[in-house]
Amino acid sequence: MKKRRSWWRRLPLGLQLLAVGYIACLAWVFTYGTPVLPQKKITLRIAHWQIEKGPPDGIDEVIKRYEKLHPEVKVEQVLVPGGIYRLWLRTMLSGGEAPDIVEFGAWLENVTDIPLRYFEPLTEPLLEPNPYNQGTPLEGVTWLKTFEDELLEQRSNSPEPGQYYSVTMSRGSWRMFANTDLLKEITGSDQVPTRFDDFLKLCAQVKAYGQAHGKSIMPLAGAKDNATFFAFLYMQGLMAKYTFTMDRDGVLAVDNRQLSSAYLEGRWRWQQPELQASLTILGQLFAQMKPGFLQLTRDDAVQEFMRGDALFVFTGTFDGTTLRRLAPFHVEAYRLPQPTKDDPVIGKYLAGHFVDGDNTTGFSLYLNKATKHPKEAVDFLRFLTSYESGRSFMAKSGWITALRKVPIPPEIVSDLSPADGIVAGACYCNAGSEATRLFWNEVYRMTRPHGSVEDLTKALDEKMPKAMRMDLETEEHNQRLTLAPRDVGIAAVGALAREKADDAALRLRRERLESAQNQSEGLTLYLGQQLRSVPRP
Amino acid sequence: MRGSPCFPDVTPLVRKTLLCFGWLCLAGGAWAQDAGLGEVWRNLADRQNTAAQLALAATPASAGRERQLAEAVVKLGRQPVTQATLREAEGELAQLAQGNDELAAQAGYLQARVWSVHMQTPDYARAAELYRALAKRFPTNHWARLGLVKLGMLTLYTLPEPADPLMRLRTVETMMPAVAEPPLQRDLNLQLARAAVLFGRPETETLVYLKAVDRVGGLVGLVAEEVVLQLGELSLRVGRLDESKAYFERFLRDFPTNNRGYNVTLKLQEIAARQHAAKGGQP
Repeated sequence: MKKRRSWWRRLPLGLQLLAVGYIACLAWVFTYGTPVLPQKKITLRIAHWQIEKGPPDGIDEVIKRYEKLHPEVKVEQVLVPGGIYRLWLRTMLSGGEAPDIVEFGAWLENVTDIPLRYFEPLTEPLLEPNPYNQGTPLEGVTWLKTFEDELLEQRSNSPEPGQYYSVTMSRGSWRMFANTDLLKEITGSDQVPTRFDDFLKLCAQVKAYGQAHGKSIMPLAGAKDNATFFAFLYMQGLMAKYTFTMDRDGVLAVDNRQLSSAYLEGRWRWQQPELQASLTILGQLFAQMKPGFLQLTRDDAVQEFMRGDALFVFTGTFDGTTLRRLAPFHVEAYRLPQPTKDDPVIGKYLAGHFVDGDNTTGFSLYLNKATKHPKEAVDFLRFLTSYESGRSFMAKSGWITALRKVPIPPEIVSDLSPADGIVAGACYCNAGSEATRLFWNEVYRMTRPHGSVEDLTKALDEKMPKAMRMDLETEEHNQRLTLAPRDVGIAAVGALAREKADDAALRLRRERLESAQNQSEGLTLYLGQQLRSVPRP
Repeated sequence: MRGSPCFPDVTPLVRKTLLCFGWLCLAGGAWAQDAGLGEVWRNLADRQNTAAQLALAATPASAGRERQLAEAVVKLGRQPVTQATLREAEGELAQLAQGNDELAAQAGYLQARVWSVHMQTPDYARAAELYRALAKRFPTNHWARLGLVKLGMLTLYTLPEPADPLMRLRTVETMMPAVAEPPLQRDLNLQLARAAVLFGRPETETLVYLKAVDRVGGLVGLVAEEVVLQLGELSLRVGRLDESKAYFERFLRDFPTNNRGYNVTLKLQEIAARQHAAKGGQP
């Protein structure tokens, strides 16, 4: 029986080749080639919680300029209130729906796993010059070095030592914002005392003025948030001299982890004279806020100030634009009055003038690892943190840019502090999650009528050992969690290095990964040793 | 025209073309196999574990021991981590570690890591035993040397013996020649410095370790800045004023953006005052 040939074999060879070629071309066009239809517009989304007056306008301005330059890209700003940000971010990242660029802070609680899991390092582009700085004073400077602090926060808290995961937008300080119209009305001058004792006299004058005029005017707008800002700054500064005695390592500061360890080792107690004196100063400040301030929030304090019911509001310069633009009176920012060595309460325990703002930049933006447009997102970040964008962001937002060499408008130049303050690190009232919660739960013992520093410190020393221990255990646990995933990366880079023994970049990457893990592992075991060496309360 | 058994009715030219195509396919397959494992490692290095699992699934089992190693590493990184998966990975790594090559050394190292950091309840004694055995079997291998750094840390902080802190330091010091590679020696010296402070050893001893760290350099992150600060401050505490001054000045020069710069300027003023006083001037 004659075998029947298939239709394909009956075709001449030329036609067969033509057909194969045609199919190959089709495959190429639809998989690798330039799209047949015009490219769709790319949409980038950037999310942050800086929804105060100013920053969203500043970013909008930059977006407009970027979209003009890149008509194929659309950038959307996603504004998320701070109160829900952590929850929102985790949900969006887990669902694969998070924006391309997101704000994040290493200090945010209960989300420490996020950077390693969801963000992409920016180290490589940061080591190249930012092309958008051409023709500016920052031309040719590596992107990293265009930031005023060269991203100090990333050097301190990078999820992977040696890698940079974010770029920053701004910097600022802590300031006493004053209603200068009211200040002049009360004192006849717009000057605010720089000495702490003189400041307390002014506060007494404000209260007397209110009583004399039948008005309820408090010297300081009150809220728990603002009290926390005071505690953060003053306790760190007032205690600096004692803090340095606990600096066994000799790094000229003590971090909160070391502070907790020192407490468990019995190297400090709330009832010791230095702490009692510092808390007395803090209590004197809290007494200038209205009763019940511990139940109120930062927004309440801003409203109290805006209504003219308080002469000052103490807050970060992140509130500066809101206050300056919305207040129906003139607002001026003043540096904090600090006690001096002749102060009868704290003088003998003081190290000197303490920091009220440094060059550390913030408003950190991270690149989502799952972005569909990594190239465009990095390009937008470059544009956003370029010299020209820094200038327009600053003009529109009223926030000082994180970038070097950008001239600062005179009206906000007072938001920056010169380098004239001691940094001690340890925040006694905010040492860790549990210790912080306990402090603020107990602080009423000092602020209530007939309350006292002694009542507070006695209660703290009774309950604090357990809280400090819990904080250290959490720290040890969190550190431990970072170790195992790094083993996978180290094994993989080691395997790649086996194939490419002469690849210097790969060798450096391997060395850095291993060294970073060695540091973290050493710290974890060190913490474990410390925890074992002190008895469980 | 007579055809071949496989291609009965085609011309010799077409047959040759098809044979060439076949060889090309085979070569391509072999290349894809290599690319497959490379892809697995690249994905794991970039923390893309799911992508690594997919790439691994596409790699043929014939890829050999390296594939088995990759499979074990994927298991170590696969979420959710279970103790059963870890035990499985540990078994595979133990088997691979029986060999006598680079892969065996890496597998042996990872086997120790499973006991040291992956298991919910670490077994440091077991990990230490494995690190020691690895160093003995592969004295010049990088994985064994890295294992010695880990063993050093366990000795300093965790293992029951030696109980005396000073002996712990001395035991780890004896490991240093075997660690051999300068970056690893640097990391171990950094741990020795920290432990010396924790154990209350004299500053002069800590300074020896820190100077060894500084000689190698190349640390990443804030610790690079803190080592210079430590060298300055500890030198000051033991009265080595000139050395201290040099380190603090270097800190200001090399790390101008660190926010402890003001603290350092105060230290330099203190040193100047002490030097002035030492020369007979008023303090």
